Amino acid sequence: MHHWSVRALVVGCVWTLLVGVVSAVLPDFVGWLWASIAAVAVGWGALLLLSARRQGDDPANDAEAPMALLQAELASCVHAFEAQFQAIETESTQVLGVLADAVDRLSDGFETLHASVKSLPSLVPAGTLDSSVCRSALRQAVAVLDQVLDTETTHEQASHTLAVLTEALSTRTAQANALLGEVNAIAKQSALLALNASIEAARAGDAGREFVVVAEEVTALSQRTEGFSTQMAAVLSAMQSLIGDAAVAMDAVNVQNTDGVRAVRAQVDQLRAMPEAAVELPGSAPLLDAQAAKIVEALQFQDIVAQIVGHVVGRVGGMREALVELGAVAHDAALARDAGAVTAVCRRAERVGQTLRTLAARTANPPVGRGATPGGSIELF
Amino acid sequence: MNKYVLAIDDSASIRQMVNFTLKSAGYSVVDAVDGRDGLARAKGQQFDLVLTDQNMPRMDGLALIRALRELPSYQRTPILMLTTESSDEMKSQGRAAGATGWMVKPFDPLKLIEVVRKVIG
Repeated sequence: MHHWSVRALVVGCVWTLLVGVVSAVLPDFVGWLWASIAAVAVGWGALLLLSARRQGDDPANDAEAPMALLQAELASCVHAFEAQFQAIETESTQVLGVLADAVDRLSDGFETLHASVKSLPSLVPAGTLDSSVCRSALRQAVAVLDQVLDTETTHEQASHTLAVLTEALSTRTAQANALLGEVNAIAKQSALLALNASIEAARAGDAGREFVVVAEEVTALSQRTEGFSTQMAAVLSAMQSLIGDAAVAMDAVNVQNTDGVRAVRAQVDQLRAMPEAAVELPGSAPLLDAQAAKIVEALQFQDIVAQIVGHVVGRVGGMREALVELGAVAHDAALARDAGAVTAVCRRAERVGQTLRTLAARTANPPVGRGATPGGSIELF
Repeated sequence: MNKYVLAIDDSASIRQMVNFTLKSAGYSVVDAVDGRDGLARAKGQQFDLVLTDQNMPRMDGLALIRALRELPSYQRTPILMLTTESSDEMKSQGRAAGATGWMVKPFDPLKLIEVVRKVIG
């Protein structure tokens, strides 16, 4: 209840008591009863009228509406943050699934390819010059494949690192989600602040020093919000750094494996071109081709991973922009002492909401399509 | 006679793999980084086949197909979609836009060669 309303209530009660005492003390007169009732009614009517006018002039009412708007904007930001983090979690899970599939296929492909090429020398007839040339070429092929297998080992290590990084990403995201609880608390406190501000504005006329109490509350709120923003920015920065490392690791693996596949293909082509080998190798060369195709297929999985990670990085970058703006809002909120300043803060809060909505629109289309048809399927219309 | 293929994808790795696969089968391949780049290259040279991704910046695959079909020289040119999109709805949109076929990534290089041979010989 407002301070002015309490005063009016007290004055009304005193007035009623006074009229009652006067009517009791004065000599008995029939008209006094009605006069007393009328005096009490007029007194209460006047108090209500004055109270209504004071309420209309109360600067607190000017501050209350913008503060409620601020609360609504903060709540809207919270929902937007939640939606973004949910999307990050979904995409991170997608990264893990695709990566595991790629590792399986690559391992399978290289093992079979290596076994096939190891068996090739036994197919070439011994004792001829041509066959010795063939053996030389095959030895080279085996050496290249060993090199490719070394690359595969590097790939496995990089993939393992990526898996660890992605797991860390999920943990960071969970931490960020916990911090969102703080935003909720701030939004609730905004409501209390609006109430306090209105009470204080009513008191400001005769108790200016008490305004300091509200100012301290506003400052404390600001510090809390800024603390939250700093924490959130640190979490997101770490998350972005992790994902960036993952993307670099994947790029490195892509380059290594593509070069490796090209080397294998060149050796296979050389073997095919040799007359002696052409007689003995027709059964093995298509097998090598098929395995190389498997590797190319697996590499595409890695490319899909890289695209998803890139999308996540874009999403996180947009959220960081919004958080910087939110920090600025918190800072301005600390300095807001009148309705005009609060309205300006609200406008900035609206811009945070707008930034998040723009981000949502920009990242609405996933980089990797979804559908029921399995990869590799072909349909001619 | 050498056949020319225009391969459009915003992913450098995919462009590299398509290039590698089709060149090994004897085709000449020209790359483009997105739909708009692909359209510019198609206007500058007549290709026997266009192979395009769907999700790309600036201009996506469906928009590219529509733009190509408006060009007199590309009204009968085969256009294959090579994308991770695999929903029936997207395929219907592709068919309506004028796509010749729909391949879902990750592609099998041997099957890609097989399909390209089937479409342009």
